[in-house]
Amino acid sequence: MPILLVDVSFGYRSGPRVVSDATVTIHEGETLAFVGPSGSGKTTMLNLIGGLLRPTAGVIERSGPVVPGPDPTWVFQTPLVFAGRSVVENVAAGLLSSGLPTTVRRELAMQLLDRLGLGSVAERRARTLSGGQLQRVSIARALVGRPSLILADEPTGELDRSTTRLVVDTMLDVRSAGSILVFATHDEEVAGRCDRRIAIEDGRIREIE
Amino acid sequence: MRSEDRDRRRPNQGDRVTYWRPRVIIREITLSLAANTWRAWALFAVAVGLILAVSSTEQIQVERALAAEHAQALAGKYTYRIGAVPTDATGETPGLHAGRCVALGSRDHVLAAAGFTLTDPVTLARAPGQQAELAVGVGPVAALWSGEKERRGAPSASLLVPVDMADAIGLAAGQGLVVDGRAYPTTDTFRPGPRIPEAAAWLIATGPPSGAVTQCWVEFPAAAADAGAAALRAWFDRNGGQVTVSAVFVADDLTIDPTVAYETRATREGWLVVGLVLGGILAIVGWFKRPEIALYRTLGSGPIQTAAIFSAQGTVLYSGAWLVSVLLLGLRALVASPRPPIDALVLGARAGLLTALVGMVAQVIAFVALSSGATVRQIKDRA
Repeated sequence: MPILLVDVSFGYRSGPRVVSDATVTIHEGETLAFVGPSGSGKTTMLNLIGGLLRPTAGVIERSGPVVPGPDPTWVFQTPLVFAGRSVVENVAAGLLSSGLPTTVRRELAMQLLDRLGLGSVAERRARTLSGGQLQRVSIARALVGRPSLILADEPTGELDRSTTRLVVDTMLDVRSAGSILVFATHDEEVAGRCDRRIAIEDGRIREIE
Repeated sequence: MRSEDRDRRRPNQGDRVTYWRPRVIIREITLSLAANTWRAWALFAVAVGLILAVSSTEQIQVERALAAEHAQALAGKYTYRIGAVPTDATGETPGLHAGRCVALGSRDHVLAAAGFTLTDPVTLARAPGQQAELAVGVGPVAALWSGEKERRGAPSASLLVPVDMADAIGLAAGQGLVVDGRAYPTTDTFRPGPRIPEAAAWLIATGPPSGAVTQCWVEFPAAAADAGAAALRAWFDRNGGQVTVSAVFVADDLTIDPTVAYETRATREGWLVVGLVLGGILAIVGWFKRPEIALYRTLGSGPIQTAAIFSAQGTVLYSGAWLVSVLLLGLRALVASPRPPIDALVLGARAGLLTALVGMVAQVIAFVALSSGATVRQIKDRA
Protein backbone atom coordinates (compact mmCIF):
# COMPACT_ATOMS: atom_id res chain seq x y z
CA MET A 1 0.00 0.00 0.00
CA PRO A 2 2.45 2.67 -1.13
CA ILE A 3 1.89 6.36 -0.60
CA LEU A 4 2.79 8.76 -3.37
CA LEU A 5 3.36 12.47 -2.86
CA VAL A 6 3.85 14.24 -6.16
CA ASP A 7 4.90 17.90 -6.20
CA VAL A 8 2.98 18.52 -3.01
CA SER A 9 2.93 22.07 -1.66
CA PHE A 10 1.11 23.60 1.23
CA GLY A 11 0.91 27.08 2.59
CA TYR A 12 -1.44 29.49 4.21
CA ARG A 13 -2.59 32.48 2.27
CA SER A 14 -1.33 34.70 5.00
CA GLY A 15 2.15 33.20 5.06
CA PRO A 16 4.90 31.53 3.09
CA ARG A 17 4.72 27.95 1.86
CA VAL A 18 5.30 25.47 4.64
CA VAL A 19 5.92 22.60 2.23
CA SER A 20 7.24 23.13 -1.30
CA ASP A 21 7.14 20.71 -4.23
CA ALA A 22 7.62 17.57 -2.15
CA THR A 23 7.77 14.33 -4.07
CA VAL A 24 8.10 11.20 -1.97
CA THR A 25 7.17 7.56 -2.35
CA ILE A 26 6.66 5.60 0.84
CA HIS A 27 6.67 1.86 0.34
CA GLU A 28 4.69 -0.84 2.10
CA GLY A 29 6.26 -1.91 5.38
CA GLU A 30 8.64 1.02 5.40
CA THR A 31 9.58 3.14 8.40
CA LEU A 32 10.37 6.74 7.58
CA ALA A 33 11.29 9.79 9.60
CA PHE A 34 10.86 13.43 8.66
CA VAL A 35 13.56 15.28 10.55
CA GLY A 36 14.31 18.91 11.00
CA PRO A 37 14.18 21.77 13.47
CA SER A 38 11.00 23.11 14.99
CA GLY A 39 8.82 24.90 12.46
CA SER A 40 10.47 23.25 9.48
CA GLY A 41 7.22 21.62 8.29
CA LYS A 42 7.51 18.08 9.71
CA THR A 43 4.09 18.11 11.33
CA THR A 44 2.53 19.71 8.26
CA MET A 45 3.95 16.90 6.15
CA LEU A 46 2.44 14.32 8.50
CA ASN A 47 -0.91 16.11 8.46
CA LEU A 48 -0.84 16.13 4.66
CA ILE A 49 -0.11 12.42 4.50
CA GLY A 50 -2.75 11.70 7.12
CA GLY A 51 -5.38 13.76 5.38
CA LEU A 52 -5.80 16.36 8.10
CA LEU A 53 -4.67 19.02 5.64
CA ARG A 54 -5.27 19.33 1.92
CA PRO A 55 -2.31 20.23 -0.28
CA THR A 56 -2.57 23.57 -2.05
CA ALA A 57 -0.76 22.03 -5.00
CA GLY A 58 0.24 18.55 -6.06
CA VAL A 59 -1.29 15.15 -5.42
CA ILE A 60 -1.19 12.62 -2.62
CA GLU A 61 -2.25 9.09 -3.50
CA ARG A 62 -2.66 5.96 -1.49
CA SER A 63 -3.36 2.70 -3.19
CA GLY A 64 -4.22 -0.71 -1.88
CA PRO A 65 -7.12 -2.37 -0.06
CA VAL A 66 -9.40 -0.28 2.11
CA VAL A 67 -8.73 -1.12 5.74
CA PRO A 68 -11.78 -0.93 8.00
CA GLY A 69 -11.56 1.52 10.85
CA PRO A 70 -9.43 4.59 11.28
CA ASP A 71 -6.48 4.52 8.97
CA PRO A 72 -4.11 6.18 9.48
CA THR A 73 -3.81 6.06 13.21
CA TRP A 74 -1.99 8.75 15.12
CA VAL A 75 0.45 9.12 17.98
CA PHE A 76 1.07 12.64 19.17
CA GLN A 77 3.76 14.27 21.29
CA THR A 78 1.31 14.84 24.12
CA PRO A 79 -0.59 11.59 24.50
CA LEU A 80 -4.22 11.99 23.52
CA VAL A 81 -6.27 9.80 25.86
CA PHE A 82 -9.65 9.55 27.53
CA ALA A 83 -8.23 10.55 30.89
CA GLY A 84 -11.17 9.35 32.96
CA ARG A 85 -11.43 5.91 31.38
CA SER A 86 -9.50 2.78 32.11
CA VAL A 87 -6.35 1.99 30.19
CA VAL A 88 -7.94 -1.00 28.49
CA GLU A 89 -10.94 1.09 27.40
CA ASN A 90 -8.55 3.62 25.93
CA VAL A 91 -6.80 0.99 23.89
CA ALA A 92 -10.03 -0.73 22.87
CA ALA A 93 -11.23 2.65 21.55
CA GLY A 94 -8.84 2.07 18.66
CA LEU A 95 -11.26 -0.64 17.50
CA LEU A 96 -14.46 1.40 17.73
CA SER A 97 -14.80 1.48 13.97
CA SER A 98 -14.07 -2.22 13.58
CA GLY A 99 -17.58 -3.43 14.31
CA LEU A 100 -16.18 -6.01 16.72
CA PRO A 101 -18.14 -6.79 19.91
CA THR A 102 -17.05 -5.07 23.09
CA THR A 103 -15.66 -8.24 24.65
CA VAL A 104 -13.49 -8.95 21.60
CA ARG A 105 -12.24 -5.37 21.50
CA ARG A 106 -11.29 -5.53 25.17
CA GLU A 107 -9.62 -8.89 24.70
CA LEU A 108 -7.49 -7.64 21.80
CA ALA A 109 -6.63 -4.53 23.80
CA MET A 110 -5.61 -6.65 26.79
CA GLN A 111 -3.38 -8.84 24.62
CA LEU A 112 -1.56 -5.79 23.33
CA LEU A 113 -1.27 -4.24 26.78
CA ASP A 114 0.25 -7.45 28.12
CA ARG A 115 2.73 -7.38 25.27
CA LEU A 116 3.63 -3.77 26.11
CA GLY A 117 4.02 -4.56 29.80
CA LEU A 118 0.94 -2.56 30.76
CA GLY A 119 -1.32 -5.47 31.64
CA SER A 120 -1.04 -4.74 35.35
CA VAL A 121 -2.43 -1.22 34.92
CA ALA A 122 -5.14 -2.14 32.42
CA GLU A 123 -8.02 -1.34 34.75
CA ARG A 124 -6.52 1.84 36.15
CA ARG A 125 -7.78 5.18 34.94
CA ALA A 126 -5.52 6.71 32.32
CA ARG A 127 -5.07 9.91 34.31
CA THR A 128 -3.20 7.98 37.01
CA LEU A 129 -0.39 6.88 34.65
CA SER A 130 2.98 8.52 34.01
CA GLY A 131 3.76 10.32 30.76
CA GLY A 132 5.72 7.40 29.39
CA GLN A 133 2.97 4.95 30.24
CA LEU A 134 0.37 7.21 28.64
CA GLN A 135 2.41 7.40 25.47
CA ARG A 136 2.55 3.62 25.36
CA VAL A 137 -1.20 3.51 25.85
CA SER A 138 -1.71 5.85 22.90
CA ILE A 139 0.69 3.73 20.86
CA ALA A 140 -1.26 0.61 21.80
CA ARG A 141 -4.47 2.30 20.68
CA ALA A 142 -2.81 3.27 17.39
CA LEU A 143 -1.61 -0.28 16.78
CA VAL A 144 -4.49 -2.40 18.04
CA GLY A 145 -6.48 -2.07 14.84
CA ARG A 146 -3.56 -3.23 12.71
CA PRO A 147 -3.64 -0.10 10.54
CA SER A 148 -1.71 0.09 7.30
CA LEU A 149 -0.39 3.55 8.15
CA ILE A 150 0.74 4.91 11.52
CA LEU A 151 1.71 8.54 11.86
CA ALA A 152 3.72 9.59 14.91
CA ASP A 153 4.24 13.28 15.53
CA GLU A 154 7.16 13.75 17.95
CA PRO A 155 6.00 10.75 20.00
CA THR A 156 9.09 10.91 22.21
CA GLY A 157 9.29 14.66 22.57
CA GLU A 158 8.41 14.66 26.25
CA LEU A 159 10.10 11.42 27.25
CA ASP A 160 13.46 10.68 28.80
CA ARG A 161 16.05 8.68 26.90
CA SER A 162 15.27 5.23 28.28
CA THR A 163 11.52 5.69 27.82
CA THR A 164 12.15 6.98 24.30
CA ARG A 165 13.93 3.73 23.46
CA LEU A 166 11.11 1.70 24.96
CA VAL A 167 8.48 3.63 23.03
CA VAL A 168 10.30 3.39 19.70
CA ASP A 169 11.06 -0.28 20.23
CA THR A 170 7.40 -0.85 20.93
CA MET A 171 6.28 0.93 17.78
CA LEU A 172 8.76 -0.89 15.60
CA ASP A 173 8.18 -4.30 17.10
CA VAL A 174 4.44 -4.37 17.55
CA ARG A 175 3.28 -2.86 14.29
CA SER A 176 1.87 -5.29 11.77
CA ALA A 177 4.00 -6.56 8.98
CA GLY A 178 3.51 -4.38 5.95
CA SER A 179 2.28 -1.33 7.79
CA ILE A 180 3.93 1.99 7.15
CA LEU A 181 5.27 3.96 10.09
CA VAL A 182 6.06 7.63 9.59
CA PHE A 183 7.66 9.77 12.27
CA ALA A 184 8.03 13.51 12.50
CA THR A 185 10.90 14.02 14.89
CA HIS A 186 13.90 16.13 15.69
CA ASP A 187 15.41 13.26 17.65
CA GLU A 188 18.31 11.80 15.69
CA GLU A 189 18.19 8.58 17.68
CA VAL A 190 14.57 7.98 16.75
CA ALA A 191 15.24 8.88 13.12
CA GLY A 192 18.24 6.59 13.08
CA ARG A 193 16.03 3.59 13.85
CA CYS A 194 13.99 4.14 10.67
CA ASP A 195 14.56 2.69 7.20
CA ARG A 196 14.66 6.13 5.64
CA ARG A 197 15.18 9.71 6.80
CA ILE A 198 14.00 12.80 5.00
CA ALA A 199 15.17 16.20 6.14
CA ILE A 200 12.87 19.22 5.83
CA GLU A 201 14.35 22.68 5.73
CA ASP A 202 12.30 25.72 4.86
CA GLY A 203 9.62 23.47 3.46
CA ARG A 204 11.89 21.64 1.06
CA ILE A 205 12.65 17.98 1.48
CA ARG A 206 15.93 16.18 1.05
CA GLU A 207 16.55 12.45 1.39
CA ILE A 208 19.31 11.69 3.88
CA GLU A 209 21.51 8.84 2.70
CA MET B 1 -7.55 32.99 10.20
CA ARG B 2 -9.09 33.75 6.83
CA SER B 3 -11.83 31.56 5.42
CA GLU B 4 -9.62 30.30 2.63
CA ASP B 5 -7.04 29.19 5.15
CA ARG B 6 -9.72 27.52 7.21
CA ASP B 7 -10.87 25.64 4.14
CA ARG B 8 -7.37 24.40 3.48
CA ARG B 9 -7.10 23.17 7.02
CA ARG B 10 -10.39 21.32 6.83
CA PRO B 11 -9.56 17.66 7.13
CA ASN B 12 -10.20 15.30 4.29
CA GLN B 13 -10.21 12.60 6.92
CA GLY B 14 -13.95 12.93 6.36
CA ASP B 15 -13.49 10.65 3.36
CA ARG B 16 -12.74 7.89 5.82
CA VAL B 17 -15.39 8.71 8.39
CA THR B 18 -17.01 5.62 9.84
CA TYR B 19 -20.48 5.43 11.28
CA TRP B 20 -20.55 3.41 14.44
CA ARG B 21 -23.35 1.12 15.48
CA PRO B 22 -25.92 2.70 17.83
CA ARG B 23 -24.87 0.19 20.48
CA VAL B 24 -21.28 1.45 20.26
CA ILE B 25 -22.38 5.08 20.45
CA ILE B 26 -24.59 4.41 23.48
CA ARG B 27 -21.70 2.65 25.18
CA GLU B 28 -19.40 5.58 24.45
CA ILE B 29 -21.93 7.98 25.96
CA THR B 30 -22.23 5.82 29.06
CA LEU B 31 -18.47 5.39 29.39
CA SER B 32 -17.91 9.09 29.00
CA LEU B 33 -20.44 9.92 31.72
CA ALA B 34 -19.00 7.26 34.00
CA ALA B 35 -15.44 8.43 33.32
CA ASN B 36 -16.16 11.81 34.86
CA THR B 37 -18.60 10.85 37.57
CA TRP B 38 -18.08 13.80 39.86
CA ARG B 39 -18.29 16.24 36.98
CA ALA B 40 -21.44 14.57 35.71
CA TRP B 41 -23.02 14.77 39.16
CA ALA B 42 -21.91 18.37 39.59
CA LEU B 43 -23.41 19.31 36.23
CA PHE B 44 -26.54 17.38 37.14
CA ALA B 45 -26.84 19.22 40.45
CA VAL B 46 -26.31 22.60 38.79
CA ALA B 47 -28.88 21.73 36.13
CA VAL B 48 -31.42 20.61 38.73
CA GLY B 49 -30.82 23.83 40.66
CA LEU B 50 -31.18 26.13 37.66
CA ILE B 51 -34.14 24.32 36.12
CA LEU B 52 -35.83 24.11 39.51
CA ALA B 53 -35.22 27.83 40.06
CA VAL B 54 -37.01 28.66 36.83
CA SER B 55 -39.84 26.18 37.24
CA SER B 56 -40.49 26.88 40.92
CA THR B 57 -40.43 30.63 40.29
CA GLU B 58 -42.99 30.05 37.57
CA GLN B 59 -45.01 27.78 39.81
CA ILE B 60 -45.03 30.31 42.66
CA GLN B 61 -46.01 33.14 40.35
CA VAL B 62 -48.84 31.10 38.87
CA GLU B 63 -50.00 30.16 42.37
CA ARG B 64 -49.93 33.80 43.40
CA ALA B 65 -51.84 34.83 40.31
CA LEU B 66 -54.39 32.09 40.90
CA ALA B 67 -54.71 33.02 44.58
CA ALA B 68 -55.16 36.69 43.71
CA GLU B 69 -57.66 35.77 41.05
CA HIS B 70 -59.52 33.56 43.51
CA ALA B 71 -59.53 36.34 46.13
CA GLN B 72 -60.88 38.82 43.62
CA ALA B 73 -63.50 36.34 42.47
CA LEU B 74 -64.50 35.89 46.11
CA ALA B 75 -64.81 39.64 46.35
CA GLY B 76 -67.18 39.58 43.39
CA LYS B 77 -65.00 40.19 40.37
CA TYR B 78 -67.39 38.23 38.19
CA THR B 79 -70.54 38.95 40.16
CA TYR B 80 -73.09 41.63 39.25
CA ARG B 81 -75.87 43.21 41.20
CA ILE B 82 -79.05 44.15 39.36
CA GLY B 83 -81.38 46.67 40.85
CA ALA B 84 -84.64 48.21 39.66
CA VAL B 85 -84.85 51.86 38.62
CA PRO B 86 -87.70 53.95 40.07
CA THR B 87 -90.31 54.35 37.39
CA ASP B 88 -92.90 56.74 38.76
CA ALA B 89 -92.99 60.17 40.23
CA THR B 90 -93.15 58.91 43.79
CA GLY B 91 -89.78 57.25 43.41
CA GLU B 92 -91.06 53.83 44.27
CA THR B 93 -89.34 50.95 42.64
CA PRO B 94 -91.40 48.19 41.12
CA GLY B 95 -88.83 45.51 42.00
CA LEU B 96 -87.32 42.80 39.89
CA HIS B 97 -89.15 39.72 38.81
CA ALA B 98 -87.98 37.10 41.30
CA GLY B 99 -88.71 34.25 38.91
CA ARG B 100 -86.55 35.74 36.17
CA CYS B 101 -83.78 36.38 38.68
CA VAL B 102 -83.70 32.77 39.83
CA ALA B 103 -84.14 31.50 36.26
CA LEU B 104 -80.82 33.12 35.37
CA GLY B 105 -79.12 30.48 37.46
CA SER B 106 -80.12 27.75 35.05
CA ARG B 107 -78.77 29.57 32.00
CA ASP B 108 -75.56 28.49 30.32
CA HIS B 109 -72.42 30.22 31.62
CA VAL B 110 -74.09 31.36 34.86
CA LEU B 111 -72.70 29.98 38.12
CA ALA B 112 -75.45 31.17 40.44
CA ALA B 113 -78.24 33.71 40.66
CA ALA B 114 -80.35 34.67 43.65
CA GLY B 115 -82.47 37.63 44.73
CA PHE B 116 -82.86 39.56 47.97
CA THR B 117 -85.25 42.03 49.44
CA LEU B 118 -84.01 43.72 52.59
CA THR B 119 -86.55 44.62 55.21
CA ASP B 120 -86.29 46.56 58.48
CA PRO B 121 -84.03 45.65 61.40
CA VAL B 122 -85.43 42.84 63.45
CA THR B 123 -85.09 41.52 66.97
CA LEU B 124 -84.56 37.98 68.07
CA ALA B 125 -86.59 36.58 70.92
CA ARG B 126 -83.68 34.48 72.19
CA ALA B 127 -81.13 37.31 71.87
CA PRO B 128 -82.83 40.66 72.20
CA GLY B 129 -79.58 42.63 72.00
CA GLN B 130 -78.47 41.07 68.74
CA GLN B 131 -78.44 43.48 65.77
CA ALA B 132 -79.90 41.85 62.64
CA GLU B 133 -81.70 42.64 59.44
CA LEU B 134 -84.13 40.37 57.73
CA ALA B 135 -83.60 39.70 54.04
CA VAL B 136 -86.04 37.71 52.02
CA GLY B 137 -84.08 35.59 49.61
CA VAL B 138 -85.10 33.59 46.57
CA GLY B 139 -83.01 31.02 44.81
CA PRO B 140 -79.80 29.40 46.02
CA VAL B 141 -78.70 32.42 48.04
CA ALA B 142 -75.90 30.58 49.87
CA ALA B 143 -74.34 29.66 46.57
CA LEU B 144 -73.49 33.30 45.99
CA TRP B 145 -70.83 33.05 48.64
CA SER B 146 -67.81 31.23 47.33
CA GLY B 147 -66.99 28.17 49.28
CA GLU B 148 -70.62 27.24 49.41
CA LYS B 149 -70.88 26.42 45.73
CA GLU B 150 -72.15 22.98 46.58
CA ARG B 151 -75.33 24.54 47.89
CA ARG B 152 -76.69 25.39 44.50
CA GLY B 153 -80.09 23.95 45.09
CA ALA B 154 -82.94 25.71 46.80
CA PRO B 155 -82.23 26.16 50.54
CA SER B 156 -83.58 23.35 52.68
CA ALA B 157 -84.09 25.53 55.76
CA SER B 158 -86.58 28.32 56.09
CA LEU B 159 -84.02 30.71 57.61
CA LEU B 160 -80.30 31.13 56.93
CA VAL B 161 -78.24 32.59 59.75
CA PRO B 162 -74.63 33.86 59.51
CA VAL B 163 -72.30 31.43 61.24
CA ASP B 164 -70.92 34.03 63.66
CA MET B 165 -74.37 35.20 64.61
CA ALA B 166 -75.52 31.60 65.15
CA ASP B 167 -72.57 31.08 67.48
CA ALA B 168 -73.27 34.33 69.31
CA ILE B 169 -76.85 33.44 70.04
CA GLY B 170 -76.16 29.76 70.64
CA LEU B 171 -78.17 28.54 67.70
CA ALA B 172 -77.47 25.02 66.51
CA ALA B 173 -78.04 24.12 62.87
CA GLY B 174 -81.54 22.82 62.33
CA GLN B 175 -83.00 24.54 65.36
CA GLY B 176 -85.93 26.89 64.93
CA LEU B 177 -85.77 30.64 65.55
CA VAL B 178 -88.34 33.32 66.26
CA VAL B 179 -87.75 36.61 64.49
CA ASP B 180 -89.99 39.57 65.30
CA GLY B 181 -92.59 37.18 66.56
CA ARG B 182 -92.56 34.98 63.49
CA ALA B 183 -91.36 31.44 63.96
CA TYR B 184 -89.00 29.85 61.46
CA PRO B 185 -89.09 26.07 62.10
CA THR B 186 -85.69 25.17 60.56
CA THR B 187 -82.49 27.12 60.27
CA ASP B 188 -79.17 26.64 58.58
CA THR B 189 -76.00 28.69 58.63
CA PHE B 190 -73.99 30.39 55.94
CA ARG B 191 -70.58 32.05 55.85
CA PRO B 192 -70.73 35.61 54.53
CA GLY B 193 -67.78 36.50 52.36
CA PRO B 194 -66.17 39.71 51.21
CA ARG B 195 -68.59 39.91 48.32
CA ILE B 196 -71.46 41.08 50.59
CA PRO B 197 -69.82 42.03 53.89
CA GLU B 198 -73.04 43.50 55.28
CA ALA B 199 -74.62 40.05 55.01
CA ALA B 200 -72.89 39.24 58.31
CA ALA B 201 -75.91 40.90 59.92
CA TRP B 202 -78.51 39.33 57.65
CA LEU B 203 -81.02 36.70 58.48
CA ILE B 204 -82.15 35.33 55.16
CA ALA B 205 -85.68 34.04 55.04
CA THR B 206 -85.92 31.73 52.10
CA GLY B 207 -88.95 31.46 49.94
CA PRO B 208 -90.24 30.41 46.54
CA PRO B 209 -89.19 32.49 43.51
CA SER B 210 -92.35 34.47 43.19
CA GLY B 211 -93.22 38.14 43.40
CA ALA B 212 -90.45 40.72 43.30
CA VAL B 213 -87.03 41.30 44.81
CA THR B 214 -85.16 44.58 45.15
CA GLN B 215 -81.84 43.19 44.01
CA CYS B 216 -80.66 40.21 42.06
CA TRP B 217 -77.12 38.88 42.25
CA VAL B 218 -75.58 36.91 39.43
CA GLU B 219 -72.20 35.21 39.29
CA PHE B 220 -70.53 34.18 36.05
CA PRO B 221 -67.44 32.16 35.31
CA ALA B 222 -64.53 34.46 34.44
CA ALA B 223 -64.60 33.70 30.73
CA ALA B 224 -68.30 34.57 30.42
CA ALA B 225 -68.45 37.53 32.78
CA ASP B 226 -68.26 40.39 30.27
CA ALA B 227 -70.70 38.89 27.81
CA GLY B 228 -73.02 37.82 30.61
CA ALA B 229 -73.04 41.26 32.20
CA ALA B 230 -73.85 42.87 28.88
CA ALA B 231 -76.88 40.63 28.48
CA LEU B 232 -78.31 41.21 31.96
CA ARG B 233 -80.12 44.46 31.19
CA ALA B 234 -81.98 42.94 28.27
CA TRP B 235 -82.90 39.92 30.38
CA PHE B 236 -84.65 42.05 32.99
CA ASP B 237 -85.96 44.74 30.62
CA ARG B 238 -88.40 42.17 29.31
CA ASN B 239 -90.51 43.09 32.34
CA GLY B 240 -90.93 46.56 30.93
CA GLY B 241 -88.96 48.30 33.69
CA GLN B 242 -85.43 49.61 33.62
CA VAL B 243 -82.67 48.09 35.69
CA THR B 244 -79.21 49.06 36.86
CA VAL B 245 -76.37 46.60 36.53
CA SER B 246 -73.31 47.21 38.67
CA ALA B 247 -70.19 45.21 39.29
CA VAL B 248 -69.80 44.02 42.84
CA PHE B 249 -65.99 44.23 42.70
CA VAL B 250 -64.75 47.70 41.80
CA ALA B 251 -61.10 47.91 40.81
CA ASP B 252 -59.17 51.05 41.66
CA ASP B 253 -55.70 52.27 40.73
CA LEU B 254 -54.11 50.05 43.33
CA THR B 255 -55.88 46.92 42.19
CA ILE B 256 -53.58 44.52 40.40
CA ASP B 257 -55.02 42.42 37.63
CA PRO B 258 -53.52 38.97 38.31
CA THR B 259 -53.64 38.00 34.63
CA VAL B 260 -51.81 41.13 33.52
CA ALA B 261 -49.36 40.85 36.42
CA TYR B 262 -48.58 37.26 35.44
CA GLU B 263 -48.19 38.04 31.74
CA THR B 264 -45.86 40.96 32.40
CA ARG B 265 -43.81 39.28 35.14
CA ALA B 266 -40.12 40.12 35.09
CA THR B 267 -39.12 36.46 34.95
CA ARG B 268 -41.27 35.50 31.97
CA GLU B 269 -38.16 35.07 29.78
CA GLY B 270 -36.28 33.31 32.57
CA TRP B 271 -36.44 29.95 30.80
CA LEU B 272 -34.61 31.41 27.81
CA VAL B 273 -31.90 33.12 29.84
CA VAL B 274 -31.28 30.17 32.15
CA GLY B 275 -31.51 27.75 29.20
CA LEU B 276 -28.75 29.66 27.45
CA VAL B 277 -26.71 29.57 30.66
CA LEU B 278 -27.16 25.78 30.76
CA GLY B 279 -26.10 25.55 27.12
CA GLY B 280 -23.15 27.84 27.86
CA ILE B 281 -22.01 25.65 30.73
CA LEU B 282 -21.85 22.62 28.47
CA ALA B 283 -20.19 24.67 25.75
CA ILE B 284 -17.45 25.56 28.24
CA VAL B 285 -17.19 21.91 29.25
CA GLY B 286 -16.96 21.07 25.53
CA TRP B 287 -14.16 23.60 25.08
CA PHE B 288 -12.12 21.70 27.63
CA LYS B 289 -13.08 18.42 26.00
CA ARG B 290 -11.46 19.36 22.69
CA PRO B 291 -8.75 16.72 23.17
CA GLU B 292 -11.42 14.03 23.47
CA ILE B 293 -13.28 15.49 20.49
CA ALA B 294 -10.04 15.42 18.48
CA LEU B 295 -9.40 11.88 19.67
CA TYR B 296 -12.79 10.71 18.46
CA ARG B 297 -12.14 12.39 15.12
CA THR B 298 -8.81 10.59 14.75
CA LEU B 299 -10.62 7.34 15.61
CA GLY B 300 -12.75 7.78 12.52
CA SER B 301 -15.85 9.45 13.98
CA GLY B 302 -17.32 12.18 11.81
CA PRO B 303 -18.23 15.61 13.18
CA ILE B 304 -21.96 14.94 13.49
CA GLN B 305 -21.45 11.57 15.13
CA THR B 306 -18.87 13.08 17.49
CA ALA B 307 -21.20 15.96 18.34
CA ALA B 308 -23.99 13.43 18.93
CA ILE B 309 -21.86 11.47 21.41
CA PHE B 310 -21.00 14.58 23.43
CA SER B 311 -24.34 16.35 23.23
CA ALA B 312 -26.18 13.15 24.17
CA GLN B 313 -24.44 13.31 27.53
CA GLY B 314 -25.77 16.81 28.11
CA THR B 315 -29.20 15.75 26.90
CA VAL B 316 -29.26 12.87 29.37
CA LEU B 317 -28.15 15.16 32.21
CA TYR B 318 -30.63 17.93 31.42
CA SER B 319 -33.53 15.56 30.79
CA GLY B 320 -32.87 13.87 34.11
CA ALA B 321 -32.52 17.24 35.82
CA TRP B 322 -35.88 18.31 34.44
CA LEU B 323 -37.56 15.13 35.63
CA VAL B 324 -36.11 15.61 39.11
CA SER B 325 -37.23 19.24 39.12
CA VAL B 326 -40.78 18.17 38.19
CA LEU B 327 -40.72 15.67 41.04
CA LEU B 328 -39.54 18.36 43.47
CA LEU B 329 -42.16 20.78 42.16
CA GLY B 330 -44.85 18.20 42.81
CA LEU B 331 -43.54 17.53 46.31
CA ARG B 332 -43.40 21.22 47.09
CA ALA B 333 -46.95 21.68 45.84
CA LEU B 334 -48.19 18.77 47.95
CA VAL B 335 -46.41 20.05 51.03
CA ALA B 336 -47.74 23.58 50.49
CA SER B 337 -51.33 22.55 49.97
CA PRO B 338 -53.37 19.35 50.20
CA ARG B 339 -55.08 20.38 46.96
CA PRO B 340 -52.31 22.03 44.94
CA PRO B 341 -53.29 23.97 41.84
CA ILE B 342 -52.50 21.69 38.92
CA ASP B 343 -52.22 24.67 36.55
CA ALA B 344 -49.30 26.04 38.56
CA LEU B 345 -47.57 22.65 38.54
CA VAL B 346 -48.07 22.22 34.80
CA LEU B 347 -46.88 25.73 33.95
CA GLY B 348 -43.91 25.38 36.29
CA ALA B 349 -42.99 22.07 34.67
CA ARG B 350 -43.40 23.62 31.23
CA ALA B 351 -41.05 26.48 32.10
CA GLY B 352 -38.51 23.93 33.34
CA LEU B 353 -38.89 21.89 30.16
CA LEU B 354 -38.35 24.97 28.00
CA THR B 355 -35.24 25.79 30.04
CA ALA B 356 -33.86 22.29 29.60
CA LEU B 357 -34.71 22.26 25.88
CA VAL B 358 -32.95 25.58 25.26
CA GLY B 359 -29.93 24.25 27.15
CA MET B 360 -29.95 21.05 25.11
CA VAL B 361 -30.27 22.82 21.77
CA ALA B 362 -27.56 25.35 22.69
CA GLN B 363 -25.12 22.63 23.71
CA VAL B 364 -25.85 20.64 20.54
CA ILE B 365 -24.96 23.73 18.49
CA ALA B 366 -21.80 24.19 20.57
CA PHE B 367 -20.69 20.58 20.12
CA VAL B 368 -21.46 20.59 16.39
CA ALA B 369 -19.29 23.70 16.08
CA LEU B 370 -16.50 22.16 18.18
CA SER B 371 -16.64 18.83 16.35
CA SER B 372 -16.75 20.43 12.93
CA GLY B 373 -13.54 22.36 13.50
CA ALA B 374 -10.48 21.03 11.78
CA THR B 375 -9.01 18.09 13.67
CA VAL B 376 -5.52 19.47 13.21
CA ARG B 377 -6.55 22.71 14.92
CA GLN B 378 -8.18 20.84 17.79
CA ILE B 379 -5.03 18.83 18.28
CA LYS B 380 -2.91 21.96 18.22
CA ASP B 381 -5.28 23.88 20.49
CA ARG B 382 -5.01 21.35 23.27
CA ALA B 383 -1.41 22.19 23.91
